[in-house]
Amino acid sequence: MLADFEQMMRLAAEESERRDHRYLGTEHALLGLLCTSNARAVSVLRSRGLTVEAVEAELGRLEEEGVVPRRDGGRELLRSLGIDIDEVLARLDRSFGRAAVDEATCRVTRRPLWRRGRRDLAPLAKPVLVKRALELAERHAQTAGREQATIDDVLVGILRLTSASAPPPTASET
Amino acid sequence: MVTLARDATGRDPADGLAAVAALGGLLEVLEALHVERARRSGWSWEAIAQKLGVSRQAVHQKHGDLDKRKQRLGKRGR
Repeated sequence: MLADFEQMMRLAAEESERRDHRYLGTEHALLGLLCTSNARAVSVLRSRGLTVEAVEAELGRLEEEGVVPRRDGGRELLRSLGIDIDEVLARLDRSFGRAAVDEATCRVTRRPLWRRGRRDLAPLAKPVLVKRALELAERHAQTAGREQATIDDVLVGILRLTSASAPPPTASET
Repeated sequence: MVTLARDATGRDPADGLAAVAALGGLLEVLEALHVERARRSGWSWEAIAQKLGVSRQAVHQKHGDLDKRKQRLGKRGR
């Protein structure tokens, strides 16, 4: 993917971190997208009133309602056993690198036997819930004949994912 | 938070079990990291299984997707 895509994901991760959320979701990607570049997708969103401020306000409201899961659970529970997960993470970062730790967490939580809802039990790193949207973005780019997904494709991916729980494949996809 | 911390090693099974599950999650990620590093360093599944104290089949079943992932990434890199 392209440089502005990487910037978008970095901003999304920062946003999730800043808000102390325990996952990286499409809402963070959307914020990252809105802060990134001058992609066509961004101007479309802005013209419809979907600004950074608007998304942040909505996220704040969802946080207050308790809809958005904050980081918790595993972290405190492990601390109760004398395990400082932040210290563990710092050491693993030094030894393996953050990317490898994130990937291992993804791999573990994607196993079929890993029960739904147990994602918070891998407190080392955040589950990247936005991944499916990125896959859809890549697919959209491919059908449009682009080798790499752009920010515009990412927006399409997010919309496809969120507009229906199971988006029906379009004719162009099959 | 303080209450939760105290309770997890306390008597309430709900908190105790949740703490065990969290520990299990941490263990799985640690295992995944080390198995991947071992494979990258050329360790056989047999050798990894022996160190982990499980059967070769068990470790391969759990981490066998590593090899597939490596092939996929390798292809993309070329």
